Amino acid sequence: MLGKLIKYEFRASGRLLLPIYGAVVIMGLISSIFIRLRPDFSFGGKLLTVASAISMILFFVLIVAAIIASYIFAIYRYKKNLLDSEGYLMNTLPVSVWQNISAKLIPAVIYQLLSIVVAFIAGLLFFIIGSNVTATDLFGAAERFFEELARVSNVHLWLVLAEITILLLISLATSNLMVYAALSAGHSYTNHKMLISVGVYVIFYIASQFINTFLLIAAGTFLDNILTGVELTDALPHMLMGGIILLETAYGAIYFFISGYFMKNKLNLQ
Amino acid sequence: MNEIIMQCNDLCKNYTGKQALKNLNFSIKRGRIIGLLGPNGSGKTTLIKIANALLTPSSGRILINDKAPGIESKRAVAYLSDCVCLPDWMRVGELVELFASFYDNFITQKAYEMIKNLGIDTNARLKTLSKGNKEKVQLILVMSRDADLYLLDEPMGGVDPATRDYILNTIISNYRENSSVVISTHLIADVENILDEVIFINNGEIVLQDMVDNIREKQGKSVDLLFREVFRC
Amino acid sequence: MQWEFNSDRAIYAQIIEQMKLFIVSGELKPGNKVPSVRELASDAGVNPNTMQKALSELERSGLLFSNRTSGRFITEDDSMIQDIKKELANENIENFLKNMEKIGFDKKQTAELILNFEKRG
Repeated sequence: MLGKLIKYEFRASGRLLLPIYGAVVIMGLISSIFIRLRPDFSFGGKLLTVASAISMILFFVLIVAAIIASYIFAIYRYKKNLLDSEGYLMNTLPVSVWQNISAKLIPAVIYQLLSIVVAFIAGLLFFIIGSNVTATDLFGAAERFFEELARVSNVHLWLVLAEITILLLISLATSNLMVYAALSAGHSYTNHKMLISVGVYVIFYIASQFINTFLLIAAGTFLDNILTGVELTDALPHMLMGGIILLETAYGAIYFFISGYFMKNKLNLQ
Repeated sequence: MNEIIMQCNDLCKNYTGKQALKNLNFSIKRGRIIGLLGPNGSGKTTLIKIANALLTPSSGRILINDKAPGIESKRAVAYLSDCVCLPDWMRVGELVELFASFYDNFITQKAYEMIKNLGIDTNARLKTLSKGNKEKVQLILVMSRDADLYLLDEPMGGVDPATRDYILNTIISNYRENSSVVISTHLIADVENILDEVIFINNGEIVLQDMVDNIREKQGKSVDLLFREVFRC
Repeated sequence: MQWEFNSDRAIYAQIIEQMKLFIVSGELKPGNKVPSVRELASDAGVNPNTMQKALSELERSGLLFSNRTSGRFITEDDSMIQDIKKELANENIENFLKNMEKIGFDKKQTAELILNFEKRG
């Protein structure tokens, strides 16, 4: 059932997001071709220069728009499909609230990741086509950079990359779940659903900031006490990273639970 | 198989400052077409939404096949909401496939047949259809399920008489012996002939539950007339 | 078949009456198969349960008989159909007389009126 729900959600979101992503790539190609042609602008003069500038601006605007859209749309889909009119269908399907929430979360995170990947690839294409640098040059440089990095420090490159990726995924998920929880709670009220949702979101935000600050101080004191005089080990950054990932996961789990609680016990569709 | 498909025990629903349902106690048996009749705002929709887990009771409970609303009851209940609330960007055929993939008691062939009989293009997006056709498609999707209980909220609200006839006919011809159909409406004259039983609801309270034949034989008047008397303003 | 229902009497009783009428008038022929409950219910715009109840009643009275494998049929017993015809006629006369009484004619006067009406017509 979860698979079917996710498939449906991918289609529903993709309808709007994929064309934007496609536009980003196309605009990147167009503007990079303009730049490539710039030495030959003698025949086109001012007009081509203006067109080139406009296409470049559009390209960057589209990149930002694609990333923002993937976030806004995640919120919109959750509200419209589960808490508004379409909720009559979604909430009467023989699936659990947990499946319904997961089926919103997973595609949302994937589309948000995709928006970042698309922006990255479009930027890369723009760079490669627009300049005289070849792809081989670029990847060669990147490889050398990482090799150098590995040589001068004893950072475990793959471990760091894995940690960053996991943290990115978890924090994307948690930021969505925080919105879901606020929306689910706010929409359990009969009136002022959106206003209360925003209020709940602010409360979640303040509470998590408060807890973070507290934990930071606690962690600092802990490290002071335990590690005084001890040489900082290589493991410390990884421990910190692990701690942050755990904390984000905990927040995500709490918001997931809150969303589900309100969807299951306090649903108020009208 | 239990003879009672749905029952309410001391069911209450309060909205802020308003009691929408006051201590409802009644049950619905299998194999009947039942009219849930009451004026606007009497609590019909609230009751049906609670049965579908779209609202939660303030106190008391509602049981479907002896269980509180949940995944299992959603398998057994086919629900027609009081608005066309399907994702309207989807094509008619896609909606059929969506229902078929989620409800294992959905009879795909039946749905396509009914849609074909209406001359509706399965490739048309829902939002391009007329209001009447949207309502018909929604009803077809609901009635194509081999459910235990059909909860139809205002199935004939705001449609023309010809569509009304079509809707009633679709309900009659898809009705199955062991299932029950609850039709909530205030258009009593239209549904009267197809009802076995009626439940009158007013201000969140059940004022009468009886078989239609009983009402006609004992009181010598139509349900419509009785309704007008009971709810005289 | 044209169905018509009053709103103040039990539907199944009205279905029985109308089925009798269809049989007597020859719209449903003796020995012919009766459409299925679902078809009849849909045709009359009534609840299939009610139609079932009415048909069972007609079966009990012998006007219909059912064959386990091939469905319901109309009786071929002509005397029974004639009886029904008389029964319906009597019912109509009874109603008519009742109405005439309301207007202020007793049976004798009514009979006279009918004879005069015949002559005029």
